Amino acid sequence: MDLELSDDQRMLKDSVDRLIAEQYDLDQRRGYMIQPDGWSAEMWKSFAELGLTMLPFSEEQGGLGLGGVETMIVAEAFGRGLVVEPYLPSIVLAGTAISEAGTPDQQAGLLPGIMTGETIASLVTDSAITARRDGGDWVLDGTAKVVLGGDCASLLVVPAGEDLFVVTSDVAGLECRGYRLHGGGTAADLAMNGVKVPEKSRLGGNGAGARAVEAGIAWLAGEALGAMQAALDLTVDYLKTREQFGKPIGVNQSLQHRAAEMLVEVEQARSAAMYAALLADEQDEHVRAAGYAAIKVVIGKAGRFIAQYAVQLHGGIGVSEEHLVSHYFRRLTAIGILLGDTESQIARLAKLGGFTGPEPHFAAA
Amino acid sequence: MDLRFTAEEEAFRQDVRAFIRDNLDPVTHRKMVEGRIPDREEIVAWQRTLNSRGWATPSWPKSHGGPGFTPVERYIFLDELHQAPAPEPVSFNVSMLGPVVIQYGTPAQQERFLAPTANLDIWWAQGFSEPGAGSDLAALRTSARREGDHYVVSGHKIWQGMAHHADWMFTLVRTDPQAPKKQMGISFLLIDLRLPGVTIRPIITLDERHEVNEVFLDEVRVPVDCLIGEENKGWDVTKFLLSNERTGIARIGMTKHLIRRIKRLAKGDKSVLAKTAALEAELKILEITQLRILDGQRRSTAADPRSSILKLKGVELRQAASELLLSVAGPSALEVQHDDAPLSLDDAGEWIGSVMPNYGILRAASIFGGSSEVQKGILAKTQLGL
Repeated sequence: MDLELSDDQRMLKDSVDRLIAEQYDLDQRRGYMIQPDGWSAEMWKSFAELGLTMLPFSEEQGGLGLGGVETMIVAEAFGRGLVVEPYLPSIVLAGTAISEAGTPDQQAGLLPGIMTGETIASLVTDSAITARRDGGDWVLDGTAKVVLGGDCASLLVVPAGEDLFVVTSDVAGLECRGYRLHGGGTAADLAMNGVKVPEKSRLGGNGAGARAVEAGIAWLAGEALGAMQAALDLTVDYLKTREQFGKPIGVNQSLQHRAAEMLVEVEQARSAAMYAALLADEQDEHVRAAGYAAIKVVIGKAGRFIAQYAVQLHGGIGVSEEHLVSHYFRRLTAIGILLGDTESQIARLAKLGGFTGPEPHFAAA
Repeated sequence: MDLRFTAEEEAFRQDVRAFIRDNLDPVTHRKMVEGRIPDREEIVAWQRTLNSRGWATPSWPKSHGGPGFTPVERYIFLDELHQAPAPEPVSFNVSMLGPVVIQYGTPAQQERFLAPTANLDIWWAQGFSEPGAGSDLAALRTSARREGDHYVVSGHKIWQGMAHHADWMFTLVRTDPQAPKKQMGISFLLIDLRLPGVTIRPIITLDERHEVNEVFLDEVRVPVDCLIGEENKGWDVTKFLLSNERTGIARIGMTKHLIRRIKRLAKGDKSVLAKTAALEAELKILEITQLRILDGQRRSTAADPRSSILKLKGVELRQAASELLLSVAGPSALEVQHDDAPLSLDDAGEWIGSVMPNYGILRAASIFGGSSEVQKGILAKTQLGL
């Protein structure tokens, strides 16, 4: 057991934290969000220059070959900065799906553009899209909602039947309605009417979609942690500096206890993010599925608690668009809903049998 | 970063599990499974069984007769006891008094007390709280005045868990009523409960059981060689005692046992299983929090204020599990039954006679050992600077 960062990981953390601290305050973020795509191409380039867009891909794929912990470090910093660039859809979701399902040739064709940041890709995670054979090729029909980054992606990874398919966004028969999301980032609703896909653009299946969603949950856990810690820091700072009745409001025991309860939840979120990072290497599919369900439940609940009380403890200013805490509120709420909300993850974990069986401990041995 | 236990640690877990399975008396085990409290003799027998294996005092160093467990081994050992479930080594002896005697006792006191404490030849009671000194422990009033080779002790102690089983009591007494701060006039004294002037009275708790007591001390003459540490320096000893042994404070294994019972009684009821899953998700992540704090203990032996997080979340989840168990047991759980009701030694049915009493008495878990409100105060002060 060892739960400390290595020296290399600490260096990565320092450089990402510095980039976010220097380039991602609330005003800068506002500037990025009014760009045509809803995010900053220049910032995205900075991420690529720092190697972040290559980070989780193996060295054979041309990436940095770093793992779950490094990804968590980036996610945590992005959560603190409320980064709106499409790292989750392109690098984490689509990137993982292609890495997991693609043949070496398909990966060599698709991944380089994603790793340099020039291609934005997106993964449909929840769809009612069907695939049927058409000679040697395939035809896709159906709709998908809230495809993260789907408005700006030039490459879409679409699950249909047992397989994943790759289509370009300019393909005939694809309609895409893009929009901004509460909490930052963008998404799209897609409609596919007889979209033709050549056989060579069919990736294998083998649960790659599920692996990609797990990677997405791990990312969200890291991001949620960064946002929660930042929201708690803001709140504690406010309790120490905001004066009423001639005293800092933080001298009030009810507020101290609420802040302590927030700390407990942040530490649970930290544990969830670390578990998510380390679970990526787990080979047992069932252990992974149950683990990621639990992780999503905990960050969903903790995130909601932190979001609500961070605003509450800020008083009136907490509900203002101008104040950073309201942005954390919205992002944490969104994280709780995306990639399977708390209720659906609880149901999923129950269906998987949880972690402890009904049988006695000795029988379980 | 790596969450995994080493092969040696995994092997140790299997050893502990096998030892419990092969050596725990079936009647004691059945009582633990059903949430009944074992008898004094059963607890003593189990403590001695553990002692014969060298495991009765998990937190004691080898130099003083302990097994010299690492923090991780200690955690694994307790987790296996909690999950089995088997009685823990008597905490008053093993987690509280023993380390104090090791740290502050004279060689003569160590010689006299450590071995009998480990073997439960002496059963210790904790004499800290008083009617007027709960969370504000230093407000205690029990007095001890020096007369030759004795302290003469008078006062009223309360909430002595299992003191009706106990032979001795470690006690905080006021030796200097004139001290400038109330913490400065307190001494740590060991009192033989068979001495004249000691009266132990039961307090029946809301589970209709006799687990706690009050102890009246009326001019009890205690030899001065029963003073631990220096006179008037008892508060330092107390702080050491209270900061000690936080391993397993989250009692995750106990909550897992409750979850097993809930699932057996749920018989596939989807709504119950969803509520259970919600609990299990948080419990799983609390395990990671526990491992993080253990990992920190490998680097530093100082008391970790983050253990308040374990206590708060651990109690919250254990209380929630006991509430869910009560709910799934249904109205039949209201039938008043007692721990001495006949025992069935097979797994035929789930005895639910203890479900309501245990739901009730588990409220105490967020009160003793630093109430949840006290824990939150500690976190606000030490971790948030409020």
